[in-house]
Amino acid sequence: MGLYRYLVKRVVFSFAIVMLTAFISFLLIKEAPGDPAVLLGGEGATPQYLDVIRQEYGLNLPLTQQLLIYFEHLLTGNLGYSITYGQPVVTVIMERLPNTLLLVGTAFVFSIILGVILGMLAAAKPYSIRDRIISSLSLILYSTPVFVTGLILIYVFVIKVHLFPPGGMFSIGSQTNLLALSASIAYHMVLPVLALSTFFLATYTLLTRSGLIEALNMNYVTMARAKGVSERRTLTVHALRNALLPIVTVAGVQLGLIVTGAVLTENIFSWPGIGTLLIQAVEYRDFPLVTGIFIFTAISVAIANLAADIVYGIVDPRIRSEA
Amino acid sequence: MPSILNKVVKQKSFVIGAVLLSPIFFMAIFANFIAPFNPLLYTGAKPLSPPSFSHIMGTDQTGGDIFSQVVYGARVALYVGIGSAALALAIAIVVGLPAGYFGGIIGEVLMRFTDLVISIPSFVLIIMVVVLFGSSINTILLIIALVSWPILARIIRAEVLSLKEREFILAAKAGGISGFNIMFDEILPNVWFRLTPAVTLQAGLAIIIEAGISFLGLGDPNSSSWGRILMFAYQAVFSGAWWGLLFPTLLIIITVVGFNQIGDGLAKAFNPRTTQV
Repeated sequence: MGLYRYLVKRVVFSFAIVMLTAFISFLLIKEAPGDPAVLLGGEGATPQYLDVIRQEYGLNLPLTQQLLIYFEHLLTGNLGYSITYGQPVVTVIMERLPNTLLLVGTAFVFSIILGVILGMLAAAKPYSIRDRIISSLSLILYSTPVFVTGLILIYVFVIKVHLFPPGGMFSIGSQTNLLALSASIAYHMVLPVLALSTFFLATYTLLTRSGLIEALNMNYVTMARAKGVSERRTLTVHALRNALLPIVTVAGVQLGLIVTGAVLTENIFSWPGIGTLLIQAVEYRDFPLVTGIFIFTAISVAIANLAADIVYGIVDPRIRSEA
Repeated sequence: MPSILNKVVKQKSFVIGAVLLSPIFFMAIFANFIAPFNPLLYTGAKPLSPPSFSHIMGTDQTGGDIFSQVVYGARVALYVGIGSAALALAIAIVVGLPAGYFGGIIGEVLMRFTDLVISIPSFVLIIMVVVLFGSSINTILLIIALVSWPILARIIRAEVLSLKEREFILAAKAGGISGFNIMFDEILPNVWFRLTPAVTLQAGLAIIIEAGISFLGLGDPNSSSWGRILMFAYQAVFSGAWWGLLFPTLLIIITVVGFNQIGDGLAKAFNPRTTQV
């Protein structure tokens, strides 16, 4: 019963997020200087097409009715039509989505695994030289914007040492066989994944370190040591379990930051995902595509958050009762 | 008061932060006297010339003086960082204090609203606003503040919840002091030490976000942001011009680390439990 109610609440909440972002974009289109029909159709629209848009969105009707029509479009999965791509916005976004997911997913897994390992190395001997190096490097990485890391990586590994390609997703000619294509994609992914990972890597390292140091002072850890559990096992099994909980929580909260990181990283390395699509849409002044990406990212973040919430709800019974 | 000041100055992280941030503040305040050129105009110099006596940080591909851009960039960074953090703090106090103090339906509604705002993909929202309304430094500052207050509001509420059943608050209530006065005079001063690191962290994040927007070419065209220098450097770096990349990068890191260290130091100084030692 508790879990069920909790789940229903989270689903309703996710829905509310999507409605709020839809409301914000409606408000912005209404308040922005310029013809709302152009903002809904895109700057390249012909006068005839703008008339169609005015009809479709009921732009001569009262505001509340316009809002309802706008919501109705969204609820039926219609985010508008992109003139520059000659396709519905949803189709354009869906084509780019796998590329973004590949980049973000790899960076996410990489930074969590490496972050936990580095945090453990630091916490095993707190305030040692090794700990100080790891901690201060993490602090500097934490304060370095993703795009700056990306630029530094390009300068070092593309311009000084010709080790990696400057951008793109695969080399021309590698599409012929699957193995060559995967290898080429992996090769093109190294720098963008590194750039996108650094900030999160620093966060997870610092969180693991502080969580472990705290846990190592707890009575149950002393107990484990007293009964003869090896130091390595105390650290990796007994203490780590409790130290990992805040990481799971923070990983959920950081989804929004990942969107920021992905937009910047994709644009630096010309990775053909949603982030580069967004900036192209801005350059072409393809307003429906820009608005569509905003609502789409909100939906994705809401879904990912919901998934994370469900996992916590099952893992940690305390959270259920709080909600 | 002097005792608090003593405590603050004794914090190592506060001193580190102050040392890092003071040159940035100095540049921002005296930009007009320090910068030898107008940051946004062609200086007559050869484009992409490496650092020299006349252009100590070199020039970009339009012949602009990078040192002058960096100096004025400090002004933009501090304006956006401090401005949006202050505004976010103000909103967070207005939402978080009553949410924690009154609780019940008011608290529930305020916190659900806070949770909603936290889930908006803010970077994409800023890009959308800039596209629809045009880019200006104040618009960017405002939007950053409007999407970043929820974290501060959550901290305030959590602190208020733990404080409001304490004896000194109950005593104030029994003494007939109004809820408004209790919130601002009794509770708020006890929340600062938890709040300051989050506020300075927010200032640093705002600087990074603004730089990111300017880096994508969507910043205020009339202000010389560090992100704008990096946008030019991104193209110039392929012809080997490292100077446009190095200097703004160093300044961004110094400023953000500086803000975080100051917040850390203030928190330790304000925290009654850590300063007794």
